[in-house]
Amino acid sequence: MGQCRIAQSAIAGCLLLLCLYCSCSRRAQTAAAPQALSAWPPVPEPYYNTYSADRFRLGEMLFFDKRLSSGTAVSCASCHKPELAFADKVAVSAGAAGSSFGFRNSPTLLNIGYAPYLMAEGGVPSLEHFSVAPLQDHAEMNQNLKTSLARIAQDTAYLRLFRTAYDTLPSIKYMARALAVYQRYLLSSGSRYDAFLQGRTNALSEKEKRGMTLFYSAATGCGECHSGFLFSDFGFYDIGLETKDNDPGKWRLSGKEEDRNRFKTPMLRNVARTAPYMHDGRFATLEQVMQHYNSGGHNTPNRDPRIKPLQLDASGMEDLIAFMQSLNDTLPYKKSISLNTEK
Amino acid sequence: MKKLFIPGILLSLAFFTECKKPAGKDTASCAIEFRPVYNKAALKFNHSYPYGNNRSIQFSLLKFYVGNMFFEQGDGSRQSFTDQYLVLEEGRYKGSIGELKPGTYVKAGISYGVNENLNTQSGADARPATDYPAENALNPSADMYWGWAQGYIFMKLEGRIDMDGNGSFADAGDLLVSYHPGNDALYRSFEYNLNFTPEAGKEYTVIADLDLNTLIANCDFVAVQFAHPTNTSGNQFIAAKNLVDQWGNAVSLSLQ
Repeated sequence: MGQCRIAQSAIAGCLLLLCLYCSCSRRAQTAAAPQALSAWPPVPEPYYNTYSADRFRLGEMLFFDKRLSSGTAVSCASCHKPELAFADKVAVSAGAAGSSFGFRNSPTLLNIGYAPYLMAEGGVPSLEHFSVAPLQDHAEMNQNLKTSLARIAQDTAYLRLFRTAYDTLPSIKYMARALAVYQRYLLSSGSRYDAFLQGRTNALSEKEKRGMTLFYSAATGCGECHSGFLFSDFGFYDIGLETKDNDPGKWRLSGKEEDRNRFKTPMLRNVARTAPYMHDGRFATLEQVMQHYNSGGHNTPNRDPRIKPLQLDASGMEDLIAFMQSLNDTLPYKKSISLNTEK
Repeated sequence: MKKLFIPGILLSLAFFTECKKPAGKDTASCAIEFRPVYNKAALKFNHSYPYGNNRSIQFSLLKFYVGNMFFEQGDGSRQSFTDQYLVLEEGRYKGSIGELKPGTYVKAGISYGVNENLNTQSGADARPATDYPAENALNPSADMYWGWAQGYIFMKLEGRIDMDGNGSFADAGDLLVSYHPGNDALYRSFEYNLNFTPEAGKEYTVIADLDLNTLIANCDFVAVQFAHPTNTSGNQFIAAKNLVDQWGNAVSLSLQ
């Protein structure tokens, strides 16, 4: 009889664990993906890595975890700071080694999930393909992925989240996927410009409205490349920037001379928070950016024919900058978890 | 009844265990070991070698992919190890190829790099590199992957040149050399003579003698110190091509 009771208890325990497991799996699968504005399309996501709240939380935990870098010096968030629209305030960010620097300015990650490809030369097709690359890059987090994995694999919080998010033990594959989910759903859409589009005509000042008119005018042509709800057509252009540091832009991938000095059009939402500007952070302020465009830039070999002197006066440039500032998201970023992993 | 239950289970387990036991192996286990040689002696890393004009060179890293190996018999039939890759480096120049059918082989093929189907995200069979298990040679943790370009670095050859021959490799004017060939146009496949008659149940190691002098014979590290080409233009590509084109001449196979 005693053995029967033990067996019954064991079976009941197994059933309970099975129920808990199923409920966890269901919870991971049923959460609705966040949506920025109803007017925006859903964020495209691969069928094999759809959104769940647990996946987002796991990605967030990894994103802020300095154990993923050599010497536990930096995390993803060290160069993609939430308070700076997930960009950085320096031209090029220092890596984990301190003296090691990347060669490009840290771009904003907000709304990155909509980008059809990543990196300034567009060589990466999705976040899943890239999300762990900075962890291992010697100029960035400088730590082998196996070491990063070993560092987090014993952490019970991670063990729990990997289980609920992906029904697996920690692995490089699912680190990459969780980081991709997190970054894909860093959405930003709460700007005064959005409010204006939604019918609050007083959401923009007269100065900002003048700037908007200029932005979309044929006289400046800003809105031709900085188009759509993200203010980017994701095309590649030479905008007449004098070449520095031998960064050849899209040429790096294609080897075609017509791609030399061409870089992907950056998105402009929150642009007032993401100084410095350009692929190498050469311009410290929006004023300097405006001066560059107003001058027509340098006579680089592949300069887009639309880059020419704009002949704007000081007030025109101020109006354009005011419009840029109206693209700032007004919603403060809140972490969804208590980040006890920031150590 | 209960008393019979446990012995019954044990007997069943014993029966099934016996059924699973493999009969004698009908294949031979095959491995490959590269043995880099420089100036007719085993390559020593961070050791000074003469490099012409009173210069010296030190090699600090020689790491490369081999894969898609095959063995060919006299009648032309082949056993291929398609899409299987090894990443080899100092202290780990040996890796398992797999199980080979007994036969009389006369030739072996080795590819250097990662086939275009898997190399870039435009490749027909490509998937995120992180999808490979951590221990797989194609996982980015092998530190042979360009995340920004979505392609594998086929080979890393790194070192320093002491330009004035004073024994120091860190003076102003001394050179860092870094060759990282890695795009589809730099993938190379070569065939080598190898008379080999493996027998079932035995283990074999194919020895690949790698003559580094021959491998770098067409490289001018003083003229081009840095060659990380991800496209097919420019002097970096040409320099890297001069390196990988020599895999055929630099390697010879024998059997241990």
